[in-house]
Amino acid sequence: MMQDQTLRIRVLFFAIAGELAGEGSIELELDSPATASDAEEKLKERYDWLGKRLSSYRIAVDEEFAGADTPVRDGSELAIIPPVSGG
Amino acid sequence: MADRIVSEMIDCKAVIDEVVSNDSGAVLTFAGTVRNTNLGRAVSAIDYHAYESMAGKEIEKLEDEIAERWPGVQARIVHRIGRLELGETSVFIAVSGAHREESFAALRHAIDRLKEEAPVWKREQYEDGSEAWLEGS
Repeated sequence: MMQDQTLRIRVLFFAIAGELAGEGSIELELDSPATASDAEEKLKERYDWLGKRLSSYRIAVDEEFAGADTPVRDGSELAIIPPVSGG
Repeated sequence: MADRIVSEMIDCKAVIDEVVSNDSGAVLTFAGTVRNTNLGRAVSAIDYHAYESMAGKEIEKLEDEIAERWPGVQARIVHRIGRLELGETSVFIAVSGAHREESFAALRHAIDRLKEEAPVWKREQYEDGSEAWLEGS
C-alpha cells in the first residue's frame, strides 16, 4: 500500500493568483493518495487569499480542468486558474 | 498544423487557408482586437498571458467539438499572447462550412466558448500608467 508515501506536485499560479502568491509556481508535498481537493485544502492553509480575495477560481490537474475527486500523482502539475479573460 | 497560441502577429490568411476546401461554401472569420477602453477606463495596451500548453489543448478540444456538433464544419482558432497595442488582433477564428447557417452558429460558439474555457488572461495597461489583471470577461 502507498498510504505512508509522500507525493510531490508542482503548483502553478496564473494571472492574479501569481501576483497574490508572489511567485509563479511552488512545489507542494501531499500524503498519498491525494485528490485535487486535498491539494486545495493544503494550499488554503498556506495562502489566506485563496477562496477569499480570489474567491472564484478553477483547478486544473495535468492541463485538464479537475473536479474535487480528480487524483493528483507524484509529479503532477496542478494549476490555480483565476476567471479567464482571453479573447 | 499551426500553433494555437502564438507570440507574434497572427497570420490570418494562413488560418483561413487551413479551413478552406472545395466543400466550403461559407467561410467566416472573427478577429478580436484590442480596444481603447474597458469598464470606463482608457486602455493603452494589453499584455496577454496564457497557460500555454493547456490553452492549446483547450482550443483543439473546442475545434474538435465544433466538427462533431456541426458535421462538415471546420474551425481554427489562434490566440496571440504578449503585449498587444490598440487595434492589434488578439484572437483570430476561421470557420468553413457548406452553408452559412452552420458556419455562423459554429463561429459564435467558438468565440463564446473560447472566452469561457481557454486559460488566457488580460493584463490591461491604462493611459494613466497603472495596470491590472482582468478577472473574468
